[in-house]
Amino acid sequence: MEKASAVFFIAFGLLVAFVVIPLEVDGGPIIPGQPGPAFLPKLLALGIALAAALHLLFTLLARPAGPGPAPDEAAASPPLPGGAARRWLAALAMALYAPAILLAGFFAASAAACAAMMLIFGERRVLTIVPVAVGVPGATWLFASQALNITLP
Amino acid sequence: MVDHLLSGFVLLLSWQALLAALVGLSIGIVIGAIPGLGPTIAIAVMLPITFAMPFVPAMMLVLGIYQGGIYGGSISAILYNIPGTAAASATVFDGFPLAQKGKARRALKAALYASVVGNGLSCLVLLLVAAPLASLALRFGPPETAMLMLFALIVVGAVSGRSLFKGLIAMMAGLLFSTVGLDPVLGSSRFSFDLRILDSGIALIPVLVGLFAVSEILVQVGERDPTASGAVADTRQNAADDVFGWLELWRMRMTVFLSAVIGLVIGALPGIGSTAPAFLSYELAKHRSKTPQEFGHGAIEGVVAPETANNAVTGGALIPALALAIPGDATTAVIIGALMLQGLTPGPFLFQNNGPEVYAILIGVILQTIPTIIVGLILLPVAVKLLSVPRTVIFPAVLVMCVVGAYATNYNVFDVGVMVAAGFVGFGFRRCGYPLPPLLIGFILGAPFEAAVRQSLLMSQGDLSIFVSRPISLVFIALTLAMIAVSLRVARRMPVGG
Repeated sequence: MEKASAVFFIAFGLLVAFVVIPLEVDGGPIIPGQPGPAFLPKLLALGIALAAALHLLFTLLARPAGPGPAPDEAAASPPLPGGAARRWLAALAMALYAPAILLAGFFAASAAACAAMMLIFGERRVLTIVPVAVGVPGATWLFASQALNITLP
Repeated sequence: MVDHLLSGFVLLLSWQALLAALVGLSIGIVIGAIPGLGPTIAIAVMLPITFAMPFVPAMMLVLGIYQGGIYGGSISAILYNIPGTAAASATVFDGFPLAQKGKARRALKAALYASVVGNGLSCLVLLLVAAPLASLALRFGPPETAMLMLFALIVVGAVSGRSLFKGLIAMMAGLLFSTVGLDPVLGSSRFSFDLRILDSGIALIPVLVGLFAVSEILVQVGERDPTASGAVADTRQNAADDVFGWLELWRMRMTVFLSAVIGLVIGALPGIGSTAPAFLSYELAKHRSKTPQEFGHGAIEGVVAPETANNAVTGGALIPALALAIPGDATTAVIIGALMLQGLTPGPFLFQNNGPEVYAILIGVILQTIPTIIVGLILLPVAVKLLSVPRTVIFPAVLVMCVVGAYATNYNVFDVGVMVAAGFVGFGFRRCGYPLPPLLIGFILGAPFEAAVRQSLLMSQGDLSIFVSRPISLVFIALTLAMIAVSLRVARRMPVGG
């Protein structure tokens, strides 16, 4: 994972610096003494590639990691069987959420997304899924539209 | 300052501000107690709500969530051996063993009192230091501001997480994402991909909510329910000495004082957060103790020390946030977002232009220590009950609320897409061990940093020596180089990982 992520960021940095920036950053007028619009993005992209390259070098040269979790993260729970598949399904549900709002409106899309996420999390009780999938979007819509004057689609 | 203090006190004396403070504390304590959630997520989700509120109640709500959330993390740490927030990681060492011995209430009350004292002390210092620091910052021109931000960005990147390079990559990625939109000087389009909506850049709220809340949902969906392990303390079984009082806390005053200082000083440094101070103060308390062998087996000082320190961070982190617009941690970065939503600009001019409002919230966070005790004692049973709500219900509900928050930013479904994309990015970063706070802080500071650099170059007509010819700017450059040198040295010695 260390090496793979480092290679990814090297590729990302170089791609952004030499492909994306020339295509997506307009040149703009030239002011003497002023860096152009592409200056900082290119510097950052190359900086990311360089830092990733150094990280890869240190990873290849250094000794293996010791035991123990990172001190700035709470202890992780053991993985769930089928956890990767659940994550992919959850990601798919989230990715479809915004288009669903455009097609069906907030309430219907949220009810479907809520029910889908509950199933993905492992909930199987219909008497829990239906009230929550209807109640949470309903209560949220009510609070947002009536108390906060937020008009939801 | 006295005029602003008095005016601020008057502004605070409204039922809306007091109610908002109580609601914020309650939400913070309850949300902080739920593993996987935390004050950052709670504030991010509530941000759109604060938009419709007057300034003082809005900030009392946000700061109440912040203060309550840090304490709330200790509840599941003590009862379930699971820190509700990363800041409570050190509290499990002695909190859970105490609870297993039937002294859960003793541990919970010790955590509550220590939290209140740590919070109160640091906010008192905040009240005294913030305005003078802001006055000092008025002497900063664009070059000084640029170099200060560079120093803050490098510190954040270097000390967050376990890897120097990963932190720097995350920080630079955040800066890169902040360049989406129009160039601040020339108005040229950058990374809009022919989408007009991206000309105004990527909105902060969807990124915040996505990075922390959505990524957490993706993490949780693939892991076992941590509360289903069966390792739960029995709070019905209480020992005869399951009590804790203020007198006992007073007897530990040196531990409390030292822990508060650690939290305050380290909290003021950008990017470090509240976890490191909690561990440092725990180790110091153990080192100073006459019975160090009791630590890890239910020593009450093992609860008091980290809880004092991690709550003292709140005041410390707000010092650079309010006075210099430099977030001390991810949560204060979100709080800066809340200030901006209210139309205020954190930084040196905040105290000049909005003195009464700022002092209102500074006094408010100090006075909030009193309701924290009351609300904390009342809500303890509620928070414990909420831990029994299955996450199959909690996390889908959180997702729906996040969508509302993201949508309400610009009333555009595009921002919901931004939130989801940020969630995927955040999940990817977390899975590969890249820290999120530098990413977020880079994103927030990117635009003002670039503006300061470009203004400096306009002043000097492109001459880079402007950054080294001014003393304050030169000091920050020296500090930045020193930080890089120290971090590289540490990185060469440490094993690779995390």
